[in-house]
Amino acid sequence: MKIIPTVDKGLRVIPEAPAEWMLLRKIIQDANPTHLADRLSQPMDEESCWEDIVQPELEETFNTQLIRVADATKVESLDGFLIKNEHLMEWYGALNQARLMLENTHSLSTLDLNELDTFPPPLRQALVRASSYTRIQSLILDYLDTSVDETNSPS
Amino acid sequence: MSVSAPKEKTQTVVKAARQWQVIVLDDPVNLMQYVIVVFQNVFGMSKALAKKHMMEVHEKGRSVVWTGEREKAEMYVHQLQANQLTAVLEKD
Repeated sequence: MKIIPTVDKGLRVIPEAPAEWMLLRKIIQDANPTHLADRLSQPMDEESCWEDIVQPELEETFNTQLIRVADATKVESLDGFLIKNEHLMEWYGALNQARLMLENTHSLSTLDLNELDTFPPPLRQALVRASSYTRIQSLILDYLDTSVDETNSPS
Repeated sequence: MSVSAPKEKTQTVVKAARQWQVIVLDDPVNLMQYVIVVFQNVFGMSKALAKKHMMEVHEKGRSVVWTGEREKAEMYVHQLQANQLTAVLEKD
């Protein structure tokens, strides 16, 4: 997969194999906006009315992020697709949702990677996806950082 | 000898409004660099201060990132949660 910065501070993503398109579509399947909104809202007391007011808003925000990913990965174009600068954080959020859910389901951070060969295939696949999502997130963050630095640098 | 009536003493006690703390909790997923960006965006922190709070979350499991009135504290918790950080409200 190639990820290339564009002149208008976006990123062009060019998956180079069907498996890479599948990986990107898996983001939506791995994420669970309802569960995440519910989990984040759990510690809030009744006085805050979190469940009635904020939780639905959180869920909507998380859903919007996934719709962005679904739209971009719908058609397998040879040119890949463009992530506009203003959509970079939505992509980051979608990837984050997927990683949070994978961690919630598989407790990936507690695994001993020396025993990787003994892991069942679904667990190994989850690890690969989480690692790939992290890589893309890091690229987005590095790129955002660079964009900010360039904006702030004296002309 | 005349005895004067005891003077009435009035005292006004100004009670400070109860303060609330916005606390961010550690999780194994959110990237350090991202947490710094969120603190900068939500609270307008300098990068150095945002990094200090991020390290506190990472090393101690929690960091008090803001203290003040409840309504504003709730707004900050909402913003942090919208950025997928685990944030809670506690009485100071």
